[in-house]
Amino acid sequence: MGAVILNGDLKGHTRLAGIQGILEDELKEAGWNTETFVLNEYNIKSCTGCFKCWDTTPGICTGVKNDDANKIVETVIQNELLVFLTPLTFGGYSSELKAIIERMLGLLQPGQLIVDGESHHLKRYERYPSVLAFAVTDKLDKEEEVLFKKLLERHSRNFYPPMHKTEVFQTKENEETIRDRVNKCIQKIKVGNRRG
Amino acid sequence: MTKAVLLMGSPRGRKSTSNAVCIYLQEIFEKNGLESQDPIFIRNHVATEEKMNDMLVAIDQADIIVLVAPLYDDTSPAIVTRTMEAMAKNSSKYANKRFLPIINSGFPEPFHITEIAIPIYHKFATSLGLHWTGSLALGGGEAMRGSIGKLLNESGGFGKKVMKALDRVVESFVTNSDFGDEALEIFSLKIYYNRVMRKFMLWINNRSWKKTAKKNGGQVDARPYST
Ligand SMILES: Cc1cc2nc3c(=O)[nH]c(=O)nc-3n(C[C@H](O)[C@H](O)[C@H](O)COP(=O)(O)O)c2cc1C
Repeated sequence: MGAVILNGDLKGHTRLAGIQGILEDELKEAGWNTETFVLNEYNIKSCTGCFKCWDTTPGICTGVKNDDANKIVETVIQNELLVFLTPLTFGGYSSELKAIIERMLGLLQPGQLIVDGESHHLKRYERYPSVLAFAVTDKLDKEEEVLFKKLLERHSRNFYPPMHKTEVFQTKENEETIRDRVNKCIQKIKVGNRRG
Repeated sequence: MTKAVLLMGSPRGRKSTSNAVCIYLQEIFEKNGLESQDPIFIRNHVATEEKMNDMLVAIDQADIIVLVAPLYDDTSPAIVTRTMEAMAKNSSKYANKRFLPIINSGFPEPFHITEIAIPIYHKFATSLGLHWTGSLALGGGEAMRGSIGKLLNESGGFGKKVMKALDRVVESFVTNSDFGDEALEIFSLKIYYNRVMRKFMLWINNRSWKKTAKKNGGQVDARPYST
C-alpha cells in the first residue's frame, strides 16, 4: 500500500524535517511504500477559482499551467494514505500545504448532495486516501490544537477519507515520544471506501 | 480621519464576489467619511517579497483592516494564509488596529464558514493583537455571480441583502462600535431545507454542471486518474 507525505514547511525552514524522517521510517516498517513531497521545493501555484477542473476538463486542472501540482494530485488519489505535515498556523494549514490542497478540487465532482443534513460535493472516485494530519508548533496552545482537529473534521466531510486523524507535536518534543505517537496513529489507519 | 484598508482575497481577482463586496464597501466608506484606497488584490502581492512589503505597509498605515475573501476548503485561500504568515512576522505593528473578515462560500449554509474559518481568523487576529470587531459570513456567495463580474446592485435580492449588512458594518466603524459576528443566508435556507425544493434545486445544480461540462467537451464524472 502506498502513502504520500506532503510536507508544508515554509520556504527556508526545515522544522518538519525531523517528523518527516520518523514518519517515513515508521511507515516503511509497517509495510507502506512512501513518497514524500517537500512542497516548497516544487513549483505549485495557487488555485485561481476558475472551476475548469469541474466544467471543462473534469478531474484535471487546466486553469493553472506549467507547474507541478497535477502530478502531485494524481499521486494523492492513487495512494491509500495521505499525510499532511504542517507548521500549525493559527490552528490551520501553512500556505505551502494549503496551495496544493486547493489544487485537489478536481478530485471531487461538482454538484451537491446532502450528507448528514449538510451540502457537500459529490465523489469523483470510488476510493479516497485516509488522512493523517500532523502539525508542529513551538508552543502548545490548546485553542489552536482544537481548531486543527476541527479543521480536519470539517475538511474530511468534503474529501471522503475512510478515516482521518490529527496530532499536534511540539518542536521540542523528544524523538522517542514523537516516534511512539506516530506509531500509534499508523496503527489506526483504515483504508477502503466511504459513502458520499 | 480614520483610514480603512480593503484586502481583496479572491484568487479570481476582479470578477469575484469578494471584489463586488469590496467595490461596494469602498463606495460607502467614502460616503461615510472613512479614508480608503482601491482594494488591494492579495493575489497580486504574494508573488514577490517587494510586493508583499507594499501590502504590509498599506496595512500598517490603516486603522481598520477589512479582509474580503472566499472560503476555500473550509478555511482561508492559500494566498490569504500567506498574507497572514507575513503579517505575523511583523506582529508588533498591529496592536489595536480593528479587523473584520467578510467571507463568502459556495455552499448555501453559512455554518461552512462559521464552523472553522472564522475561528481561525479570530485566532490569527488575537495572536497579532488586532482588535476583533466582528465578522460577516455570506453563505452561498457564489449565487451573486461575482464570477461573471456582477456588482452587488446587479444581483437583485441577494445583492440587496448583502448591501444592507455592509451598511451596518460601515456604521459600526463610524460609531466606533463592534459589529459582532453575523452570518447571512444569501439564499434563504428555509426554502433550501424544504425537502421537495431542495431535491429540485440539487437536481438543477447537478444537471447544469453536467451540461456545461458536455458543452465544453468533457464528461462531468470523468475519472482521468486510474486508482
Ligand atoms: C479550491 C476551492 C475550494 C473551495 N472550498 C469551498 C468550501 O470548502 N466550502 C464552500 O462552501 N465553498 C467552497 N468553495 C467555493 C467558493 O467559496 C465560492 O465559489 C465563492 O463564492 C468564491 O468567491 P469569490 O468569487 O469571491 O472568489 C471553494 C472554491 C474553490 C475554488
